[in-house]
Amino acid sequence: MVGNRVGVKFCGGCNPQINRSKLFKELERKLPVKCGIIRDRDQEVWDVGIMLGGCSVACADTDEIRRLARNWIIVSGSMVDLFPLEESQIADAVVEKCRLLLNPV
Amino acid sequence: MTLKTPQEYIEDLKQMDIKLYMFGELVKDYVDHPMIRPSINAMAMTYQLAQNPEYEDLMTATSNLTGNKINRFTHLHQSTEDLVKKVKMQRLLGQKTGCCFQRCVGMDAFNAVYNTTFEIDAKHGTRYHERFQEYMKYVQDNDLTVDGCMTDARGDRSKSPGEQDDPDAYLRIVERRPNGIVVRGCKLHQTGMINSHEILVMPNNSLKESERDWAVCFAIPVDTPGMIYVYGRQSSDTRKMEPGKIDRGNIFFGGQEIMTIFNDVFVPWERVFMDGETDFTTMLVERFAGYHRQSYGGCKVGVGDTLIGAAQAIAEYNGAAKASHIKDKIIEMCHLNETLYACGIACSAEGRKTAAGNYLIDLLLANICKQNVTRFPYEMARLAQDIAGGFLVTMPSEQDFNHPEIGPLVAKYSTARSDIPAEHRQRMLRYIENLTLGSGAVGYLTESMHGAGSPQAQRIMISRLVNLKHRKELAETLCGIRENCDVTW
Repeated sequence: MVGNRVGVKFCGGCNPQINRSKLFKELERKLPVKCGIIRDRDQEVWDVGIMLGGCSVACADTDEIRRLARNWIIVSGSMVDLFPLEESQIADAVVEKCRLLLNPV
Repeated sequence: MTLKTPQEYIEDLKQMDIKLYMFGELVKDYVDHPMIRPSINAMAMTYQLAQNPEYEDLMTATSNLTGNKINRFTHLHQSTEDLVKKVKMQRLLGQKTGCCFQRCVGMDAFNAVYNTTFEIDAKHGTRYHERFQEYMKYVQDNDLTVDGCMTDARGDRSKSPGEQDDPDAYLRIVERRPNGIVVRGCKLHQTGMINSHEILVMPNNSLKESERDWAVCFAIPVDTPGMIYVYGRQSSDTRKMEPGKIDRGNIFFGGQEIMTIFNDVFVPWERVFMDGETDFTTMLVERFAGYHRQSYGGCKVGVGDTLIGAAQAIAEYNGAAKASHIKDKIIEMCHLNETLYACGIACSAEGRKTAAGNYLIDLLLANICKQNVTRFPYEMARLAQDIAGGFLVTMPSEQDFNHPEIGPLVAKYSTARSDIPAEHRQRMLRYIENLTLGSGAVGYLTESMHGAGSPQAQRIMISRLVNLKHRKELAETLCGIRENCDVTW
């Protein structure tokens, strides 16, 4: 393992196309490691950040936020890393990406 | 060379050998035809302004493919800033031409095809995106104008392409050869088609799996063998054939719409960017439509700026500018126009990066933008006609104003304020007439209605894109039907 600090960064939730809270709970259940919350003023860099953007704008995806984790998985509405998925498929797609980042082949 | 001059562009058109019909006759030397030249002038303005340092920031961009400075009309948007600048550029062109300047459709097609081909390749293992990048480099390096070609003839609207009695009602592949495809069909309402160097064809709508032959996207030069063009009529179009220019209203510029027939046209494989991938037709159509609906928040606003100016001018020439109801009507025109602009900016600012790397507008807000554009120019036109007065539609012809005997009498009784020459009032009234019911109304009104999709098309998209479930839950929470987890104190 290269590191196992996984955190979630929420967008502001003004116009959600997906249910971010529900997605977070599903990720907490399915991720191989404990999942924390990334905050703007975190001092220590996370190993994997999962951005939970409620819509395609992904306004939380800024340079300042990106600096808070070494690797990012971006959920923006019903897309994961810019590829569209059904909402029901998002959690599994994120978990799989996270596994690969934590245990690179 | 990446930036053409307007003269070079016009010279390119003169080299084209196309089959163009107008009023039942084959048109030779169409570039200097009085009915066609105004639309060429409008397109030429997109080249002219790019040469001017005063407009460079909007009119040019840096290519992500080559690093060269290019005309923004050939650019693949690389940021939300680019999306905003696109709208501003279109507003500028609308102000400078007062008409549909025709080059937007190609730009919108480039961006949609670019990001859709990337995602087709990711799923199907095809190589369309690479081909399209090579095509884009060619377009950018030569500063070409490309017609973005989507709307089919469509036949019976209750039937899908594969169900039509005439399968050619939607453009389709009729033959696949080792070196390319042969296509047949007709695309309508093609803005600026014969003022273009190339055509980029896209499917018209979402297609079923069985409709593979209609799922085609490709590019060809305008003068490809087999292409037949028929010039579309516009209201008051033959005024351009009359000896004078004042009665045209807009004496420099105009629009153009062409019925474009593909009569068994060959397309080499290197110019084919979709062949049968019906599962990506919805994406391509929605993204192209989204970009083009964004465009209207720029171009029609620019034309609207000139109409507002014309309304203000005619109010002054009439001696009515201080009347409170006139001022209020002009305020209302401004309100409507800036609302359209706000929508264009909003869908741009809320844009996002695609997997291909170029940026896509916020689709919901782009559809809101266009839905407003289907209405507000009509109200602005009504207000402009209200302010202009009835002489707008009863004024004698230019020839009567120029008549040696009655001309002075016509001018005398056409004068409103004595310090404003009759000719100024005549010209301004003709400009308002042009935009609100003449040939300019084709672009300002009916194109606002139907261009980039008719009103119902946006309503369908709005209904798909708005999360009503979430909004319902908001209300249910606030009225106590659902638990309010936010109120913890």
